[in-house]
Amino acid sequence: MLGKLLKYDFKWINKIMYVYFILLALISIAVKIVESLDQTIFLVIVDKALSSMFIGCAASTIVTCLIRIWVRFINNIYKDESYLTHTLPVTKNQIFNAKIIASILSILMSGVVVAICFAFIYLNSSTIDALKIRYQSLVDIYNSVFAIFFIIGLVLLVVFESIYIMISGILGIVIGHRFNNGKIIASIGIGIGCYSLLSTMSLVIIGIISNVIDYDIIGNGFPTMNYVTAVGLSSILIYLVYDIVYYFIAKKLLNKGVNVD
Amino acid sequence: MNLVEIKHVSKSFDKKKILDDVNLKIPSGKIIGLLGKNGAGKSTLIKLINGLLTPSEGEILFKGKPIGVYSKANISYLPERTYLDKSMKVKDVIEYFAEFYENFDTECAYTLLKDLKLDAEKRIIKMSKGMQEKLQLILVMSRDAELYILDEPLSGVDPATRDYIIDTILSNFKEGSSIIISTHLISDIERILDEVVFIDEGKIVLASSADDLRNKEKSSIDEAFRRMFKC
Repeated sequence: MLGKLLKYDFKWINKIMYVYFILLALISIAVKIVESLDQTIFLVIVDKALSSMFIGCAASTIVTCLIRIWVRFINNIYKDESYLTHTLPVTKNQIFNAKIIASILSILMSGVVVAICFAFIYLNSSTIDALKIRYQSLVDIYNSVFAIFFIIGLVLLVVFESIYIMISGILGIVIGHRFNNGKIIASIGIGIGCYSLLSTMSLVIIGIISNVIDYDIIGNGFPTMNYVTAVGLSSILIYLVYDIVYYFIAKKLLNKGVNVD
Repeated sequence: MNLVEIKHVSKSFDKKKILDDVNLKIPSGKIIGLLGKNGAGKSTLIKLINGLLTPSEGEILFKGKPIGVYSKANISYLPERTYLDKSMKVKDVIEYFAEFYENFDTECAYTLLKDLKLDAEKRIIKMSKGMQEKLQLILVMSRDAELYILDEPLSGVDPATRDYIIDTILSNFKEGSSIIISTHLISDIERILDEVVFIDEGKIVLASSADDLRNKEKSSIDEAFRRMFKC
């Protein structure tokens, strides 16, 4: 049953997202074509306009994906459609887990599409050379294994932070809908509050760790390996813990029972 | 064994009690009319049986088990509002029901669609409210459930369609199953009722067989109801 729920959640969230993906692809191709032509003033202006459109579209893709995740959650759990969701022969846990997994997959898919389009536009021989130089300097200062882990760590941090934004919104909706009045305003307020609270706390924790570990510059402005490892790992762990904690709080509250509208 | 047992159930919103110490047993193979004025607590009781609300006090058992996956697999519920994802097509909704409910009969659903002249290719958003309600009735009655709960199935429907709905319910109602019909349009359904439950201000004020009530009051159920709840 989890698979069936997941299928319908994923389909609904991404139904409109494919339009954004096609738009991103078309803009990327347009940018690439314009940049391959002899650059006149007119084409430079067109190139800048298309690049701005791409950035706007990329940002909208991620924001729309998050909004659709939250709208799907509200519609299915609390609005008219909840009369069907809560009478399906499935457990509350299955309903909740399907929504969270579908949300994570949707965010990842949108992120990957944006990243591919970004790479398609901006990766050329000169940017690849610049990246190689940057990577080599990481290898020279630390070592090749550490450089690879550094890049993986950065990707993980972005993924966990994105999930954290999504799950903060879900927790805000679950708590906000326990009120009898002003549910949407309460959901937004509590969602932003949940996000800000732990984000501030993570800054404090990272600050404390930074003070404990010696911050020495060892070359080209890079700090010591111990410092980067400690701050990087603790950042990843903090967001992972936040994601898990918010997931369990939201699930527990949902399992206590829902009073549909 | 009773199909549903409602034991000392109360439900409050804020400090207002909507249901107060309700005790009720729903037997198998009966058509039960849950009758009461608007705001009497009928829909709240139905939502509790379907697990859409959690009782403030007391418990509800379906065949001896608490409300959960088992009860939801065996109760077919028609709410008073349209609950389908409006972006879906009719055929997609039928596929959805077939995937989730093992007792859903796809063939029966398509036959009823044809009878009611509904297009399987049509998107729900493009259907009128009346058509959406008919579609929901088809989905609910296409299940081989042990209990059908129909919340106000006749409200907002013209008299000719009311008869059609009642016929659809009766002809698709599986033998040995029970139906709970909540309504305040008593005269339209009283001919099909085996049992009646009167609810008022969150309390069960009468639970009786339809024939016993008619004999005792020497009138129709509709008249008995009007007398009892005269403003």
